[in-house]
Amino acid sequence: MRSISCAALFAVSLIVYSPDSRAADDQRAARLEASRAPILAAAARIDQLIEADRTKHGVAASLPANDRIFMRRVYLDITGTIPTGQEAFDFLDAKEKNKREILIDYLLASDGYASNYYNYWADVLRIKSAGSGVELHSYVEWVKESLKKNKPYDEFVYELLSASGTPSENGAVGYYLRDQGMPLDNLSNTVSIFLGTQIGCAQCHDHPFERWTQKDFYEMAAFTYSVNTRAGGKEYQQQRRAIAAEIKKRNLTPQQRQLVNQLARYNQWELSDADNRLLRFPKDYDYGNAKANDAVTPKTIFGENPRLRDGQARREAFASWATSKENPLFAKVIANRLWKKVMGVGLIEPLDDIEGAEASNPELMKFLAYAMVRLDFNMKQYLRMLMNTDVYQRRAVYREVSEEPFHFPGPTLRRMTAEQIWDSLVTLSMNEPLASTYEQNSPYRFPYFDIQSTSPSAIVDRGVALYKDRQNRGKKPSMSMSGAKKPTGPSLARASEMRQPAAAGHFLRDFGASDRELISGSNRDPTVSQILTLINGKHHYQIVREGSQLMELLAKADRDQKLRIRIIYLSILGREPNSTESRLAMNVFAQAKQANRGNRELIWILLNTPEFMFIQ
Amino acid sequence: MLEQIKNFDEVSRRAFAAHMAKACFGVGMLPWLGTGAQAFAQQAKPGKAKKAIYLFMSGGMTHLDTFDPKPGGETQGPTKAISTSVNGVRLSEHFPKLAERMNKLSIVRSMTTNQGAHAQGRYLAHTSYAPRATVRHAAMGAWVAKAKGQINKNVPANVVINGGSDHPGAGYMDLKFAPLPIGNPTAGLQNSKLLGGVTEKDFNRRLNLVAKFGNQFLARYPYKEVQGYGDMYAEAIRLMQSEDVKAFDVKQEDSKLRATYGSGNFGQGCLLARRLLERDVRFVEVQLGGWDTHVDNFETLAEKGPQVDTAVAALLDDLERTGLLDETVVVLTSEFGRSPKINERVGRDHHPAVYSSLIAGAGIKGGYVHGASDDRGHFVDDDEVTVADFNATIAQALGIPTDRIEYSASKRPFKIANDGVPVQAVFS
Repeated sequence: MRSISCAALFAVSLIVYSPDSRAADDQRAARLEASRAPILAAAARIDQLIEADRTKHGVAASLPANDRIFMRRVYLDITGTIPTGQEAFDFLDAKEKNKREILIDYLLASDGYASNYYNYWADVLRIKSAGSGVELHSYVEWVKESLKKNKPYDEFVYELLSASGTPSENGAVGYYLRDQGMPLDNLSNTVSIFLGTQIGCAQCHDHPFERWTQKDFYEMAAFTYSVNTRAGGKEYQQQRRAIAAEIKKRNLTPQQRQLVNQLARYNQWELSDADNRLLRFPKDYDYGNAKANDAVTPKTIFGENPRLRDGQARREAFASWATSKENPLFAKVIANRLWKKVMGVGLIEPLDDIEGAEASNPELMKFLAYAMVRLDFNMKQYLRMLMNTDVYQRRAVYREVSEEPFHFPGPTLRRMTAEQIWDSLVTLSMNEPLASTYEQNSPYRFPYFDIQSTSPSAIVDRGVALYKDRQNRGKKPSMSMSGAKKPTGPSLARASEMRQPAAAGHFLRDFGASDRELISGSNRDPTVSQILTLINGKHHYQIVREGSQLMELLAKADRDQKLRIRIIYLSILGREPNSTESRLAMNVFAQAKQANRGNRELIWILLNTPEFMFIQ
Repeated sequence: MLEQIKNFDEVSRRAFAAHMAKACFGVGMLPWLGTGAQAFAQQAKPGKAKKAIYLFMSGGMTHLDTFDPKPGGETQGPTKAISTSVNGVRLSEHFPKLAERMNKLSIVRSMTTNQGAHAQGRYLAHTSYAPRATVRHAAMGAWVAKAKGQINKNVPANVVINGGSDHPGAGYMDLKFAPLPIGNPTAGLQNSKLLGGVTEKDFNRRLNLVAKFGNQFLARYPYKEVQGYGDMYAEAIRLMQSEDVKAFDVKQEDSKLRATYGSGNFGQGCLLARRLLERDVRFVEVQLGGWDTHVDNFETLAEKGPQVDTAVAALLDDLERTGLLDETVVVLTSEFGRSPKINERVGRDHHPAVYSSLIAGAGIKGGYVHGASDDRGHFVDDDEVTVADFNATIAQALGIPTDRIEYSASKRPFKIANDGVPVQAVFS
């Protein structure tokens, strides 16, 4: 394995963060290098604040994490998958003193970052590739593209909250279309996700023990309520009638008819502002501070109320207010959110009850919010800062949900998310999984087009063609680890590239992936069905089939049994076996007699050890 | 704060004090505040049920268009009401089969919750507690599994069919009380057969080796989540190797009987629930989503109503036929109701103030309606039943004492239905 050069890995690390510049641009590379010093200084400041807090509470730091623990964690935390055996070997073998800093930069620049953080945001934003009668794959792509480009977080949120146009013009409209018909719930989610404040209860009534009144809720909702979701009006109705007439003329089967109609319906969506349509207090409004049925004047629940400029849409004013650097909650929420994502526990818990809450380490919280603003909401730079801290690079500690404040002896021990487990199995199964265009080309997506300017006959033609395409494609893609004993080709893709959300009963859902109904609805609880999957799941076939990523690497070991064992260990657990494990593994091969049987057996065993699923 | 209390009437002040006690101690520590807890001790009837089926309508089930219609009322909309086998009790037109079986079930029409958002509402419905950052409460299924114990050692005592990913599960309790999730009832328990080419002998050898290879890691991390996986292996293997695994395959059921439940995931989930009860599972939850009818409430109901009507009617008949109804309590509930006001999208919005639930089976009255909403279906008119009260009723039906205390890891005390008081009137 030493014959394979590790120089490649570190050469790539000099690529700057923007994927637009793939060339090794010396100047930009130098800038990346130069930007490291202030980031490391900020990381050191965090460590000081953590250390002071530990001392104050008599908490000892956990032991420093060694290279292998650090490496596996940082791969999973940034790219969402375990490293390949080759990558693991290269890093552990590298001699550079600052190889951890280099690895963090390299991984943040990789495509895996966008895939992994897409999964995270999809869980937060409850992203579905199709909503109630809406086709939203452009929303999925918009979020991924924003992460790939490392769009500053404030811009990202501003664009979501103020989006207008059709899904094909602007994928960000998916944020409102996802909740089409539920503008009040959408607003309550917005405030919870981006401003860390729960006002959902006030949607229906004042609550004696909650801060917010129903009036507060309605005044806030008045900013976003007037969003109009359907295009066209009369002209659209005319066009629908013309399509219906065209359908009648042709001799279509009921299934074809249905598909044409869906195609038309899915292309009627367009977000615009209809600020003359006013939100009114509910008929049964029961409090003295406003009258039932009166129009609500928009007003924010905290901070300075935005003043509407002439002709400015209310949503736009709201989006500017919410994402402003002056908004004290906006930066704090994202700083705390990403801290929790990286360290396992927020400085304030829960993430959506920040307003008025005391952080477990107030100084640190203040510094992080400040850093977020100073970094201009650059999420990669912020993560780079956190991952370069000493606290992140310590051994994981166990923490049960508890009311005791946490003083960060190190990050917490976590089971991988469902997506991380799936993606790690995909990493073992195939090379370059993110290059797969399986889902992009799926005929189960509805194409976008301008419905008003397309002739009815052309629309019917498209529907009929799509129908034929689906017939040819055969069964709807299940994206399972293939039921066949010897799958002919991988129907595999990373979790981020599959249908959103995965269907009930899918591997991802069994391991706790969100059904995308509620904000951050995923879980990591063990279940009997997970164990049955680990024991008998079809992914074992995918991993040991000829040409899989792992088997290709093993082929290089030829007959060297010790090397085989090392490759399997590095590939699955990201480390070399110790001497006891080596001996045990040699025994496995001796008993199995055939090398291939031995491979299969050792792979199965390691995938079933708890070490595989936990991030230490 | 004192200023605030002054303005409260007597009831609110008591509620406030109870709230403070709860916030500080986890449970109501002040017995004189408990509403009728002593009265309950005298009246309580011992629970007859050994098992439970919990049908959860996820998204917020409209009460006006299901079990609490207001024929001729201004808020009723196009949904008509039909008469039932019980004089004077009417259901919505979408439930003709349950109307026929009204004499076998009780309706609670005075349910109320203080949670108007889905996440909080579902959490409260399942655990009787509002969500908090510092603890995850245990859902009813885990409580029942723990309090009643596992009868059949091969099958988990607690199963959730068609569940969402946000289920509170076992909460702070041991993971062995967590529900076994079944994502697709027709597909049953997946991956329950050994991989091709792996014999029983191979499998046992491999398992032995896993223990040897894995023990270092387990020794380093002797914690609940890590060890939980180990315990789960034993359970999974017992299930896989037992005859009981067949219970998960609804396709083994007579096709005519299968059809009576309806072909959808909810109907087949109800059938699977019955099969699991036969194998002595204690608690089966079956969920049906899609009740969040902000848009086109009535169109959705025309499709959803019959689905529920068919499945629940078939389930009740089948449980009766097999004798299981005598030892099972069946409930149907949701996180909240839907607004009497019909919105501009012909939908109904969230409505926590009043909604309806069903309860039937062992020890429960048939043909009974408990409580009422007002003429518009807006507020509780009579005999308010909180989420905690409803869960306490389920607990009593199962003979689980509502004052039994379980402790979280940090020694906080919790009760199965929080401070809920069982509704005695539904017991026969």
